[in-house]
Amino acid sequence: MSHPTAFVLERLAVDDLPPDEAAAARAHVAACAECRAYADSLAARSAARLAEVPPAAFVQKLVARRRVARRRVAAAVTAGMGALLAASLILWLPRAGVRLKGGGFALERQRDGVVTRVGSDAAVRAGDRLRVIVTLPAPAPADAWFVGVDGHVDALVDAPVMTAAGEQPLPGSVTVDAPCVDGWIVVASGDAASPATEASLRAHAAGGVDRARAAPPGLPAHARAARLRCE
Amino acid sequence: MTQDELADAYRRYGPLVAQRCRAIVRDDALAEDALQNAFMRLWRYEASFAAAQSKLGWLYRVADRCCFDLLARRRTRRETSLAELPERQRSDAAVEDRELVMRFLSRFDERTQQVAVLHYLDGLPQEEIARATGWSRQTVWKKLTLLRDRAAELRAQLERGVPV
Repeated sequence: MSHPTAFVLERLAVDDLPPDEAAAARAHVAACAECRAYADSLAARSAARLAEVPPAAFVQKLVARRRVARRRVAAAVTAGMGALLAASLILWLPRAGVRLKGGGFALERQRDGVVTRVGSDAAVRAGDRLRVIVTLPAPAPADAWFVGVDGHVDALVDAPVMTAAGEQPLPGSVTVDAPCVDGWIVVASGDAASPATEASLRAHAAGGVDRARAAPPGLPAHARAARLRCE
Repeated sequence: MTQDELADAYRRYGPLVAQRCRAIVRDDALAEDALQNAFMRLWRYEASFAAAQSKLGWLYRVADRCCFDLLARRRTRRETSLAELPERQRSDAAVEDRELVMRFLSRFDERTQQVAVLHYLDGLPQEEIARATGWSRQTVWKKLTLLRDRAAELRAQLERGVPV
């Protein structure tokens, strides 16, 4: 007898199969003691896991992690700073930045109350606030990450941001943490604003990255990076 | 995605993803980290998740990546017994290959790790692995051959009492 794969039985268990495949798999399980035993074991283990870590408790862990991650990259922008940066856009754009799929992005650094447009190779120090300004030729999702030479990757926004055409600041700002770590700000738009880009960055950054690189390894074709060097 | 929707996703898929993470990283704490990382990405990329034909498949691929990242960061792992994981009846040789490959998974490159997980955990045949990864069947075949050869080498070393 040809058995469904483990993956098919697992999809069946969570109602993830198309109806015709589900019906075929269900019929097989009804007639096959071996597959039925596997399906039963999945149900038992699922129940045990949910009893051990209930959904509400699990979600609270994620909420706490998001809060910590936000503190670490310090995505914090005040209304006052927002106004300051909005004003600065008029002063500073358009200027040279990093090219990005028909557009580009630039970084603004706020230090001691002074906002400066910095290039694709920026000197930073702990306490500096950075803001990403994206320029797109057409509306598209945009996403941004910090990739440290120590191998950690932090998302700079909660989720890809649908961004209008033209110059738009991504929500929030990043405060350079102490101790300052060299790295890159990576921005992706369109299809590259995806989990695959983040996964590629994380996979290549794991274990550390050569700080002399102009861009972190694993950078997809439609993503771009600006280097941050600690003063 | 609201927290209620996230809780629903965990209720439905979380136990299977948790089980998979344990099978890959073989360390309870590390598996919990990988599981949380996977759901953090689900939270961030809900649109990509929503568009996926197989939600479980999407989460598995993301969780696999999270596990590989953690394995790359932490090479030393506490071993857990294969008997702790749900096991379908297989031939002894296949189980032994799987046990050896999964135990030493961190020693392989990421592509080979991905093929190992799809083959040994999901039970996918070559053509389905090729479809899932977008790689040619020849590439998948080479990776599977490498895994089997490496498993045979490890088995021989273990039988001779040589540290591996």
